[in-house]
Amino acid sequence: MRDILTICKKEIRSAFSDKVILAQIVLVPFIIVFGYAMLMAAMTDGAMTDEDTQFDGYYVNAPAEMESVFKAMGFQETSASEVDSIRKDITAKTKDILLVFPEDFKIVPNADEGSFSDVEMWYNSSSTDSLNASSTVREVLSGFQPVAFTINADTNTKYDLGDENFMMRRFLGTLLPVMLMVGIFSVMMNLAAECIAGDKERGFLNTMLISPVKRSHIAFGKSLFLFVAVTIGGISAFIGLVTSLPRMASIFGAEGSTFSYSAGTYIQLFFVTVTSVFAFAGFLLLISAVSKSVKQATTLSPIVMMVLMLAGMLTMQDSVNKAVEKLGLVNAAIPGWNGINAMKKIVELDCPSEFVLVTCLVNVAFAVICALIIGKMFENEKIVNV
Amino acid sequence: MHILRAENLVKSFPLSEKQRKALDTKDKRKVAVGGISFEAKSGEVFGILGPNGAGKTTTMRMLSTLIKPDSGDVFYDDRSIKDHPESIRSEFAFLTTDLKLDEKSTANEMFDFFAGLYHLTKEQAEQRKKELFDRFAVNSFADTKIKKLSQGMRQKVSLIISVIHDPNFIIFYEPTNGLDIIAAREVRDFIINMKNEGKCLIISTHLFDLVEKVCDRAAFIMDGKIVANDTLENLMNGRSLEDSFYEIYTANMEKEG
Ligand SMILES: Nc1ncnc2c1ncn2[C@@H]1O[C@H](COP(=O)(O)OP(=O)(O)OP(=O)(O)O)[C@@H](O)[C@H]1O
Ligand SMILES: [Mg+2]
Repeated sequence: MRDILTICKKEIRSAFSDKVILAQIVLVPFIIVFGYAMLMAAMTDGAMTDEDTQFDGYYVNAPAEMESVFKAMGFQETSASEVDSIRKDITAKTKDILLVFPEDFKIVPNADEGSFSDVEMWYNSSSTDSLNASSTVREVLSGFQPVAFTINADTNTKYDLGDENFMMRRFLGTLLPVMLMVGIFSVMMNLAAECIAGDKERGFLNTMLISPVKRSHIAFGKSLFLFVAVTIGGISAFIGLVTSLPRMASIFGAEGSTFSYSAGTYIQLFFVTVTSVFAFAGFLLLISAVSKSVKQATTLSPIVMMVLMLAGMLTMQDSVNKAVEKLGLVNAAIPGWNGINAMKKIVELDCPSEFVLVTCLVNVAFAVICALIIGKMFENEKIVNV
Repeated sequence: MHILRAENLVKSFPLSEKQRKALDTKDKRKVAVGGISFEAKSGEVFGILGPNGAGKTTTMRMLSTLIKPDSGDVFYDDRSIKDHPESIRSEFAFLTTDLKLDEKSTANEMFDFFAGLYHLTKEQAEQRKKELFDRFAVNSFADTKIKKLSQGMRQKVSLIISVIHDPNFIIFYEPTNGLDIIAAREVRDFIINMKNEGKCLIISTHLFDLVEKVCDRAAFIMDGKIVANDTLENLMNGRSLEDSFYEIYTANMEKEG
């Protein structure tokens, strides 16, 4: 145990005395997760505010009660003589929309067919702005149309019996695991590759191998270091997650909704994150141990990540998701995959605690098994760089 | 009295298709060391000499447990490397270009790290560090990262680390590699010093000057086999070591045809 700690401490000292590596472990996961979340939020927000921006619109003969509404949307009054030139501009996408009201425009509730006043709305469906303008205008105009009957008129009653935050949870559930993985994975990959393959490549491992330390203990010392480092990275990413969740929730407006996660949810999320990171680290170390160089290790490693990301994406699809759900606890027994699944379920508030428990146990067991295998590999001559 | 005994060491490496063509052979494996036996005793320096590719490095790697022999065995005071690799590793010093230091650490940090791995007490480590750092004039760069050191400086640190635990068996491969004449002389004195302390030393080098000055006995290896093993005096037989080496070399080349 003493030798394991000696090696672990040396690795920690090396890593933490290097500012770049220290930043990689402590800051990068937070920055990636937090930054990614903020970016998503900003993008989604932008898309939403875009819809009620001003339009480059024009109207002819609008009745007085509508003029103020159109003016507020940035419309300008124009005369019938301008109609042709404006239509050309709309075709050229330099103007968005043109409304031409008949001179004797009337709102008639119960007119016979054919005697309605017709408003001509010229727009260009191949321009996004113009298309948006047309749908907005349609909505505005229908507000002036007579009503035959109403649906759900009582604004105080919640007619939608579903969970109003479901969509958001669904969205976060697919996004968060991916964010976390991206946040920690690259850091883990570099650390793991350097840890064994790096020392092997540079011949320093040989020097340790002829010391009286049990070779497996060298492997355990290095594994222990990586587990410590990725735990810190995992916590960093987790903090990024927790601090960005409120902002993420607000994207959906979740107007006045009671969106919040309980402390229990966060605790579950925390354990799943950290133990998943262990499982990854164990696997990456295995790759590092079989690789001859850092380059080889970092080329092989992303394959794992790709497979998991792809699997994560697939579950966005309902049919795949249902098939996966049927497997139940089997999902919790597959290292790596179980983390993605558990995070998704936790965020969707649909995760049985035994799923979390199995996930955590399986991941820790997997990490330990990886370390044991690496210990065995160190007994083999292949670990020597000659 | 300490004895290192190599018994019929054999090691072969797989040959790739390309290598087979280049060597014009059908053999699947290249025999790097083909049955080497010798004995080195305490109080003497045993030299392992031979042309390039003779199998010196491979032999020394086996002595140091870095690689395992296909067959044969090495005994350190009658203890086989097969039975107790870990405890035997604490009894020898091994210095070769195969063993590198951690580029990101300083000599001081390296020393402390290996002092820990060799289970030296704090006092032992401090004393040993002072002794060796003074002897090889390392103090001026003891806190500089290894990657910023010159080749000779690194060699000095490597040498120091290799003997950190003051073991009874010393195996040095080109110990003066890259050293200036002052440092090389210091290493030579160090070697003779250790011999006089009753340690068992094995040295392999192409520098015959060093061999003549420190070795008592030597083995000539050619093509993985020992072709001569005698006291230096007998080997030289009144000639220079270089001349006798050349003679043995050509004689054996003729024998093989
Ligand atoms: N890892 C290896 N894989 C394949 N062949 C090897 C390996 N190591 C050594 N050999 C081969 O074994 C033979 C002996 O090599 P070795 O390095 O022991 O020679 P050497 O006596 O140290 O030579 P030098 O004086 O050049 O250092 C050579 O033919 C070499 O090509
Ligand atoms: Mg060699």
